[in-house]
Amino acid sequence: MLELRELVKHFRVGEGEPIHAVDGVSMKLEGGELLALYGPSGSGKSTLLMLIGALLRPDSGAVLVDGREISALSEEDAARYRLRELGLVSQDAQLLAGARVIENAALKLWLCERRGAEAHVRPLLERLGLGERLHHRAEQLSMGERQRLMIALALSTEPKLILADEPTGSLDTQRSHEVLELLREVCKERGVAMLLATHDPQATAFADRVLELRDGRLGVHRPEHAALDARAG
Amino acid sequence: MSTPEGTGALLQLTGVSKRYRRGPQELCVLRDVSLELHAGEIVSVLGMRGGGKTTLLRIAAGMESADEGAVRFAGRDLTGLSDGELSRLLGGQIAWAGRSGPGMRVRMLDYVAMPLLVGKRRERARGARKTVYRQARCALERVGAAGCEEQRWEDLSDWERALVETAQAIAAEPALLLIDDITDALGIRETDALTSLLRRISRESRTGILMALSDAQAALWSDRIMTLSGGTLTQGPAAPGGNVIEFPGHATPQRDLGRGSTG
Repeated sequence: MLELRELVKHFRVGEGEPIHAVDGVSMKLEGGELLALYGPSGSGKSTLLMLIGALLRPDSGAVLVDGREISALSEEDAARYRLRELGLVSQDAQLLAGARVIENAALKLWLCERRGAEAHVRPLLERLGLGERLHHRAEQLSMGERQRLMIALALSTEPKLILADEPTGSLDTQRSHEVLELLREVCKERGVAMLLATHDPQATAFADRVLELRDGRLGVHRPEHAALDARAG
Repeated sequence: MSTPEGTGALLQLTGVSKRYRRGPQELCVLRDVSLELHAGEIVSVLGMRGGGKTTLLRIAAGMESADEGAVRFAGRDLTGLSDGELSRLLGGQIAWAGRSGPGMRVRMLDYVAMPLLVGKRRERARGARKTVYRQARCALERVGAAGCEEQRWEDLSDWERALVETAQAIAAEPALLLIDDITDALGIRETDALTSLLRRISRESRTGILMALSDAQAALWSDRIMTLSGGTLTQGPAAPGGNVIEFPGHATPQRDLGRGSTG
C-alpha cells in the first residue's frame, strides 16, 4: 500500500554540514498493518512523515501510495491527496471551538463537498466510544475523548493510510493505551495501513512490526536502545 | 444588540471563581473576578503563563463553567443557556483566536472557512458554500493575509499565522472576540502591527475584544488593562494610544521608537 524507495532528505543549516534527516529510507507497509516507527527526538521521524504526507519533497527517492508516486504530485493534487486519501492523528487534538463533536468529525467531508457527512461519521463516532457525546461541544471533551475525535476525523474520508505522529503524547499511561488499542482495532477492522511514529517504547508493543529510525537511517528495532534513549533524556 | 440592564456592557463577569483539583490539592485559578467589556472596546488581561488567563477567557466564552459567579453576554446569562444555544453563540457572535492552527493539513482559505461552514450547515442554507468562501476571502483580505489563501499552516511565519487566526475569528463578524496570547511568538514590530489591526477592527465593527496577554507591550493598544495575579483580577494603568507604563511583575514594554503610536 505504502512504499518508500531510497528516500533522501537533507537540510543545510548555514555553512555547516547538511543534516541527514532522512537518509536512504526504503520500506513497505501493507493495508491492515500497524507499523511503529520508533526513534528518539531528532531522529528524522517528523521529516519522514512530512515526506509521506507530501508536505515536503524528497531530494531523491520516491513515496508510492497504491503505486502512485506521491512525491511527484503537483501542489493541488498533493492538497487533494492529504484531504481525501490520508488520515493524520497528531499529539495535539486541534478542534474547532464551539463546534459539536459530530460537526468536528464531519469537517473534512464538508471540505470535500460530500453529501450526508454527518450521517457518515455518526457510526464512526459510536464505534470510537463517542456515541453519547455527538452533540457536545469539542471543548467539553476530556483529552482522551478529544484524541478519539481526531481519530474519527482522520478516518472520516476512509483513507487507506493513516499517519499517527506521537498520538498519545499528551495523555496519561492508561488513556495512551486505550487510544493505541483503538488505533490498532480500527487498523485491523478497516484494513488501513497505519504508521505510528513514536519515541515511547511502550507504544511499540501495539504494533505488528517495529522499525527504528536513527540519524535518518531505518533499521531493525533494538529494544535496548530505548533504555539508552531514556537515560539520555 | 441588547446589553445587560443598566451597564451597557457587552460582556459582564460578576464574582467569578474557578477552582481545579490536582490530586489532594485544590488550586484556585480565579477568585471573585469581575469584569465589564463594552462594544468597540479592547480590554487586555495581563498575567504570567499558567496564571488563569485562558481559563478566564474560556469562562467568558461559555466554553467552561465557573464554580461561582455569573457571566452575561449581551444581556444573556451564559450559565442558563443550553449546549445548542452556546454552540450557536460560539460559532457566531462570540469568536476565539488562539495559536492552535488547524487539526488537519488544509489550505488556509479552508481553515478560515471552517467555522462559517459549520454555521451554514446548521442553517441548512442552499448555495452556502460560495457565500462561505467569499466571507473567508474577505476576512483574509481584511487582515492583509490574502496571500496566505493557498498556503499551509506549516509554511506560514508566526506573523502570518497570527493574521490567519485573526481572520478566522473575525470571518463571522462576531460581537465579542476573545484572543488568547496570540502575540506570544511575535516580535516588537509585529506585535504593534497586530494590535493596531485589532484596534482598527474593534473600531470599525464595534467588536468588543478581550485579550489575554503575557507580554505587556501588546497591551499598550488597549482601552483598559487588567492584571491577573494569584487568581485576582485588578485594574491596571490606563494606556490608550501606546504610552509607556511600568507593569509590576512584568517586563517594561519596549516601544519601537521609529514608528508612530497612533491608534
